Amino acid sequence: MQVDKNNVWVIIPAFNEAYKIGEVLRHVQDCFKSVVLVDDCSSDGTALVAKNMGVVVVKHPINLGQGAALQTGFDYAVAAGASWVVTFDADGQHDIHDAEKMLGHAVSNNLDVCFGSRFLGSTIGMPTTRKFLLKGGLLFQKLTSGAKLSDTHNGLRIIRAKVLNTIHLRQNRMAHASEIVERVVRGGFVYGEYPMTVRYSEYTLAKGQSSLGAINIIADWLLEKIFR
Amino acid sequence: MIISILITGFMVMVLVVAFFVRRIAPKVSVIAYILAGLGTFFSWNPEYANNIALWLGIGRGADLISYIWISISFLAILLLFLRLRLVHTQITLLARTVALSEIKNNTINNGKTIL
Repeated sequence: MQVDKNNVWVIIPAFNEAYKIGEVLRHVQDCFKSVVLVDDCSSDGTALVAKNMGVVVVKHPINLGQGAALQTGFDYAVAAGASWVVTFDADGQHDIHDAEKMLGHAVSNNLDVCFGSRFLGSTIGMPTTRKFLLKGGLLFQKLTSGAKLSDTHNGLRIIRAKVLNTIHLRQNRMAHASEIVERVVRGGFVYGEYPMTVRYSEYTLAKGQSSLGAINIIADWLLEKIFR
Repeated sequence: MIISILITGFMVMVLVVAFFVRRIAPKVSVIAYILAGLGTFFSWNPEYANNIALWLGIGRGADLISYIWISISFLAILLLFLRLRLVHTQITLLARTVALSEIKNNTINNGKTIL
């Protein structure tokens, strides 16, 4: 089954990525024409760089978090008539060709959601502590949602548009990754995984979440459960 | 007596605040009136607090008041947290609406997307 790539929207949440975003968008635009960058109130001109690349730029008036930026992107893409969305990181960790393969895999296997997995694929330059943290996150996700995944905190995902009508992310910050998995599983959607590569560099590690961020994720998740 | 005067002063402040919020939060206002009244009464008549405390199985009136005060403070913090959470959700929805409206207006006005 062919997919009209004009209806596949790549959603890139970004915060202060002016240094890298031009390069990232150049690669993304080689494969996908419908791209929306959600600028989470950057102060370094990220939005201007993206605008000059010719992508759609939606700019938050205040900083809300990656989860909030993703939801804004979902809302935009659905209104724009997307049939599929690709969530893609702005810091250069992901390879857009992996997204293409994941889309093909999702379409040919009739999946509603395809999650990227660095543990089925490969990682370059991943610190050991990060690996343990991610494995811990995996166990947490299994216990809380029953998801059968090998990488639950991966920003590269392929999501069928109909799924977005039921995902209304409440987690503004990093716990959104767990929330997406939980909503997909509880919504009864067909999901799968695909191997992909995550590249860590000094830049991405400096920009990324600290290990203590895991505590914030668990706290956010717990508070949402208790005070839903 | 000094402590009773101080506590009475605090309770008067609570009464004043409760009076000013009586229209926007009438239930909170009523509860505040009651608590302020009770707080003032017990600060000047601690023997009544002792009697109630003994009946409840707590050693002293002062302990009873402390436990009640801690419980009320925790409840107040919890309610504040829930209110803050609600406000945060509203801010998120508002910011998102503003962001998406802006892009829609830019597209309509110019036929192409600009900032």
